[in-house]
Amino acid sequence: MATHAGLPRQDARRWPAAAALTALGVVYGDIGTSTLYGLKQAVQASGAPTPDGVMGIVSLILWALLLIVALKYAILILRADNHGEGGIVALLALLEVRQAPCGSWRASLLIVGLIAAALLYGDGVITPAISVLSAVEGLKVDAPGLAPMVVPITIAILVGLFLVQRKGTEFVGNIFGPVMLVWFVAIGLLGLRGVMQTPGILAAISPHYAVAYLVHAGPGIAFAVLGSAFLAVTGAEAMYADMGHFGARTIQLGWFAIVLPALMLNYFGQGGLLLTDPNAVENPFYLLAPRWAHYPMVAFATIATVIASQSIISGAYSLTQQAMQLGFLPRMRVRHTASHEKGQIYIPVVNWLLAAGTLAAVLMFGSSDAFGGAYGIAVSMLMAVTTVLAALVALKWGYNPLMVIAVNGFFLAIELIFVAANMTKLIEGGWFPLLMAGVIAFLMLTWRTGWRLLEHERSKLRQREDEFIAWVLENPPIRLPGAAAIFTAASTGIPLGLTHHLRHNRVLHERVLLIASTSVDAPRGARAAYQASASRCWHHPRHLPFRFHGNTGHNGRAEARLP
Amino acid sequence: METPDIMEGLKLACLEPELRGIDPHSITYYFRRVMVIPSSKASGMAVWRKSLFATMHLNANLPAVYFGVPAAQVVEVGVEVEI
Repeated sequence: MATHAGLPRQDARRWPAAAALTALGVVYGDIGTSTLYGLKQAVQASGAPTPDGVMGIVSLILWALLLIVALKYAILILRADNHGEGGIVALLALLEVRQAPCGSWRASLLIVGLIAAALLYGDGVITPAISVLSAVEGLKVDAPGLAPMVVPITIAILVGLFLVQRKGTEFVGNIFGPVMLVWFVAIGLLGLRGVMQTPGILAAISPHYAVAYLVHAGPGIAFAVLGSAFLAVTGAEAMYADMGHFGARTIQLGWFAIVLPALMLNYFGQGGLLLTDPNAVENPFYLLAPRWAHYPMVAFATIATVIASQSIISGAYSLTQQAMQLGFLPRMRVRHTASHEKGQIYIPVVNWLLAAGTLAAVLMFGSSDAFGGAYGIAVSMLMAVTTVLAALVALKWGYNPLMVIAVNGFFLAIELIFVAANMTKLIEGGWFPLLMAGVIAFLMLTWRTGWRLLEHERSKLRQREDEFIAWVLENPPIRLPGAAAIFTAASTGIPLGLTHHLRHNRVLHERVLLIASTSVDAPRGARAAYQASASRCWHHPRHLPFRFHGNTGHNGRAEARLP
Repeated sequence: METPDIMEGLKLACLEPELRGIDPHSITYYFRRVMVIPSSKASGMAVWRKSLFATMHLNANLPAVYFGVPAAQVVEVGVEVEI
């Protein structure tokens, strides 16, 4: 996603460790704070914690992390880069969806991308809410009397977070990495503490515990546990979405060197604690810490979840920008909060809608346990869509079809099991992100189709250039000195605005610039190539207004004086 | 993908010989202001969705703002389009 505080990519190559540190804050905030609620929710979904259940669930979470996050995302999906950029939009660009003829199956993939984008918004509303809420819930561990304060405090933190967005968040962006590094070290050490007290939990690394548990638990509980355990891998999509900023190697370095070991230790530790003290299921994350550290941990977890939420919010701005450029959404005001080009962006409308959705969700669900029902459904569907699109990319790149079907089919099967497991939570709250995604997808589709109809009607009204020239020659208007620029949506024909202006005012500037702005899928690295090809496409026959094809960057020069 | 920064591009383009003498900071920018009239004229979408589109279109950011053109240099030309 386009604009996170971070090192430019050239620096990322030179200073992999420094870049990995920055990436920790932006990419891994979400998955790193899933430790607050992932195991807790899964064990609660299984009923009372039994030794077999705890071993099985810890094993399940570890293998979900190893298979879905480490193998699928960190190793396989990161290969599907569009000149270094990642994310759903990059996958669509790799499949050349936008160039596909209207009505072809590839063009219909754009709708898939549109739905994926809508799901990302649904996720974007839930993630900050559940993360901050579960961090603040730590207050209840030592002081149950503070329980009524949890929701007001959460709301105050979230309101503050959304309020500071317009000021830009770059000044704190630099501390995100170090804070998250300390976070991962801390949760790793806490986990180590739990493991040392109950080393038997380490046996859960064997996947047979997970399989045996799911088989014996019965389908109802197994599905509920799967749906909750999935919360532990939410946030993995960010690894791919943020690849453009940090580079695949940086993201892999951060994951394998720091995040994965810390997460595994922490889940082991929480599991070990539950083996010795089943009552700790009330909040195994916080109870893992020594008593004196409870309140400091609550404060620290709150900061970590705010960092995770910030990444989600920045991601929503970038997504909106991409959606506007793909023609899925109306143009909205994009503000750059920093003066330099790589700075962060801020989109007021998105910020306030996101804030409204997030706060409504907090008020509606009220606790992270209740939220567990709402979270996961959008993410699991998104992961399945990513797997399918990545398979199409792999086929296009000429990988052996049998291998693609085997590998992506394997992941798709796992993810579809998680989708199905999350579907069982539909009534408990899963409807909320799906309803949001549905409304957003519907608005996007209406905008897209409406724009197409409008463009079609406009093109019928637009004069051809030769007709226009003939008309101007027949009825010479008064010429004004100087130049005028006219923006047009199309690259051919005379814009309606110009015809209209001439008809009413009967004057024309001596020099008239027609400016057509088109957006392309070209990522930053490929821009030079695009510009070179664009410069060959311009033609400016004599006696035509010059047409300046403004890309997102700068290119374009062609002028001819009107007769 | 980035926000179209037309003004920046135009400034650079105006350094070229063909566009010499054009100062992007002093010329007039014409923008259309399209009013979408929902009707059953074009097929492809129900009229109520066309109304929804018309509302979204009305509330969408003005292209001048989106492209970063200073409001003082903008002349808007109204156009009605029935869809």
